[in-house]
Amino acid sequence: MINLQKILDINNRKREKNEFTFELYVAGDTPISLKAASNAKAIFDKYYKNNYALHLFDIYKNPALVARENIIAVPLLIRKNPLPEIRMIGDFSDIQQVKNEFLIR
Amino acid sequence: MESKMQDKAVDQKRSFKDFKLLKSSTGIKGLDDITFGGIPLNRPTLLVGPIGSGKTFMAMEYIVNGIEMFNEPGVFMTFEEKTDELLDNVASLGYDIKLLMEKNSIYLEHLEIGPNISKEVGTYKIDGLFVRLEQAIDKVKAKRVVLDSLDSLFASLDRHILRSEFKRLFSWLKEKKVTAIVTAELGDVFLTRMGLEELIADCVIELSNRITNQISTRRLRIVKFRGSPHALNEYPFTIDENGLTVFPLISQELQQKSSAERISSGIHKLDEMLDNKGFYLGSSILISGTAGVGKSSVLTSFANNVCSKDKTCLFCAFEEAPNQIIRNMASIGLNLHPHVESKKLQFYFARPTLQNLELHFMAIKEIIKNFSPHILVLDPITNLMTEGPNSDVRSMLTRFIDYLKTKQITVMFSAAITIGSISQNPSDEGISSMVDTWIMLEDLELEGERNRSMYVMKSRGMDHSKEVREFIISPTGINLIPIKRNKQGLLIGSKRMAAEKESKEMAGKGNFQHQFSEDGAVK
Repeated sequence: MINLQKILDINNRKREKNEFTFELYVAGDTPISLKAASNAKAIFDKYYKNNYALHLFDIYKNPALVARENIIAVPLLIRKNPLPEIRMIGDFSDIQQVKNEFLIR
Repeated sequence: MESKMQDKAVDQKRSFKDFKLLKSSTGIKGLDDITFGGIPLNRPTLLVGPIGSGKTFMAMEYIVNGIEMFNEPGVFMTFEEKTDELLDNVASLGYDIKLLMEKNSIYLEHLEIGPNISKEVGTYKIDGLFVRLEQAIDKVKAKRVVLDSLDSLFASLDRHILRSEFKRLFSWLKEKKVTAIVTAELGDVFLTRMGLEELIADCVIELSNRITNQISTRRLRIVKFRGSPHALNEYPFTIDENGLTVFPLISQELQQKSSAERISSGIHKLDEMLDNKGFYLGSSILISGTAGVGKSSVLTSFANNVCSKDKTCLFCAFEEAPNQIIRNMASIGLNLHPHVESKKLQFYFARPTLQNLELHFMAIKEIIKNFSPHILVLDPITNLMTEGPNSDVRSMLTRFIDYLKTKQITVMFSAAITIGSISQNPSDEGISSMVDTWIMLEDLELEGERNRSMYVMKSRGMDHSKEVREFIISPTGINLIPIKRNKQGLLIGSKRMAAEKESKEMAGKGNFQHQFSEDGAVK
C-alpha cells in the first residue's frame, strides 16, 4: 500500500522557502484521497517544479482542523501562498480545470 | 386442539399488533397526536416546505422541547442563517437558546458554505461535515440533530455526488443513534427526480403556506411514515409566542359534559319559544339572517342579560368597533356601559383580514384563559368566512366550538346570509350541523312594507315552538308577537297595528263585534 504522506514528504524536505504553499485536506487513506494527492502532486511537480510545498492533513486524525478551515467537502485543496486563498474540492482528475483555477499557463 | 391453535394465532397477531416503532416525541402540540407519538427514533426525518413555511422554527422547537421536556441534548447545524441572527429570530418565539448553550445542552453552529465550494474538480465526499457533526454530537451527548437546510448545503454541488452523499449522511446519522430532522426546500419534482424520498427518509413531513383571499394559513402534512400509521390529512398550524401548534381535530376532547342547566336569552318572549326556559348552558347558538334584520341586537340582548345577572361575557366583534356597538345598542334600550366599567363585559375587536381564522381563535382562547367568561358572543361569524374555503372554516369552527363546550361556555354567533341562500345552497349552511340551537331572522316583504320575523329552526333537546313570530325592535327593547291572520292575510307591521286599533275601537262599542265574530258571518 502506498503511504500518502510518503509521496509528499520527498518533495517537502528539499527546501526551506517556497513561492507556492498548498494544503490538502483528505478523509482517511481512501482511494479518493490517494488520487487527489497524487494528481495534485503531479500537476505541481510539472508546473511549479521545486518551488512549492504541499502539506497533507487527514481530518479524521486531526478533527480540530475541520472547524478552523471550515471544511465540509473533501478532498480540499487550499492555496495558502500567494494570497488570495484559493479553494478547490475534488480528486483533481481534470488537470485543465486545476490549471485554470491556479492561473497556470 | 383446534381452539388452542386459534389461540396461538390470535396471540401471534396480538404480538404483531403490539410491536410499535419507537418514536421520538416532538413535544409540539398536536404533532405527536397525528404521528401517534412522534417522529421515528434514531432515524432521519425530512422536513420539506417552501421559503417561510416554518421549517427552521419547527426544527428548533424539536430541539428545545427535547431539552426542556425530555432532557435530551441537541445539535442544531445551520447552513443558512448566522448564529446570531438565528438566536434573535427564535428569541422572538420565547426561546432562550443562549441559556441552553451555557448549560451545554444545545450545540449551535453555523456552517458557511459559500467560500467552501469554490470549485469542483472531480469527485469528492462530505466527510468534513461528518467530522463536525461527530464533534458536536459528542460534545453535548446529543440525541437530537437538526440540519438546516439541505438546499444551502448542496446548493452548488453536483447532483450525482449529492445523491450518494445524501445516502451516506443519512445512514451515518442512523449509525450515530440520533434522531435527526433535516430540512429542505426541495420541491416535489426534485424529490422525486432524485429519488430521495424512497432513498433516505423514513418519515417525510411537508409544510406549506397557502394563501387564500390574501390571508395565509400554514399547513402541515405527513407525506410518509414508514412502518407506522399516521393521520393523512393536511392540518393547519400556527407559530406564535407559545411555539408551534398543530390543530388536528382528534386532539380535542369530544367527551364534553352536557349540562341540563338553562340560560335565558335575554328576550323574554324568545325564552317562551324555547321551552319557556331558554338555551342550554354550554350550548352553541346560531342567529342567522339577512343584513339589517337585527342579529346584533339579539346577540347584545343576550350579552346584556348575562352581564346584568353578575356573569361575564366576551364579545368578539368583527364588524363594528366596541364604542359603536355600545352607542347603537343604547338606541334599543340596552345600556352596556356599566357592564364594561364593571369589567363583566369584555370586547375582542379585530378585523377579520388582520390574520387567519386560527390566529383569531388563538387570541380569543388566550382571553378566555385569563377572563374565563360565562358566555361568548361572535358577531358575525360570516365575516371570518370570507377568509377561506368553507370546509376550512367549518373545521376550525368545529374545533373552536368543541373547545368552548369543554369549557362549558355558551356561545352565540351570528351569520349573515343572503336571501334564498339556504334553498340554493344548503351546504353553505354547514355550520348548522354543529350548532345546538338555530334561530332564523327573516325579512318579510308584504305590500310594500318590510317586517322582521323570527323562528326557531332547530333546538336540540327541547320542545321548541315552531311558530313564526313578528320580531320587533323598539327603543325599549326586543319583542316577539305571534302573527295573526284575518281574511285579508297576515297581520304584520302596519296592518297589525291597524287591526289592533280597529279591535280596540270595536271593543269600545260594546258586545256588537263579539256577536258578529262568533257567528262567523255578517248578519
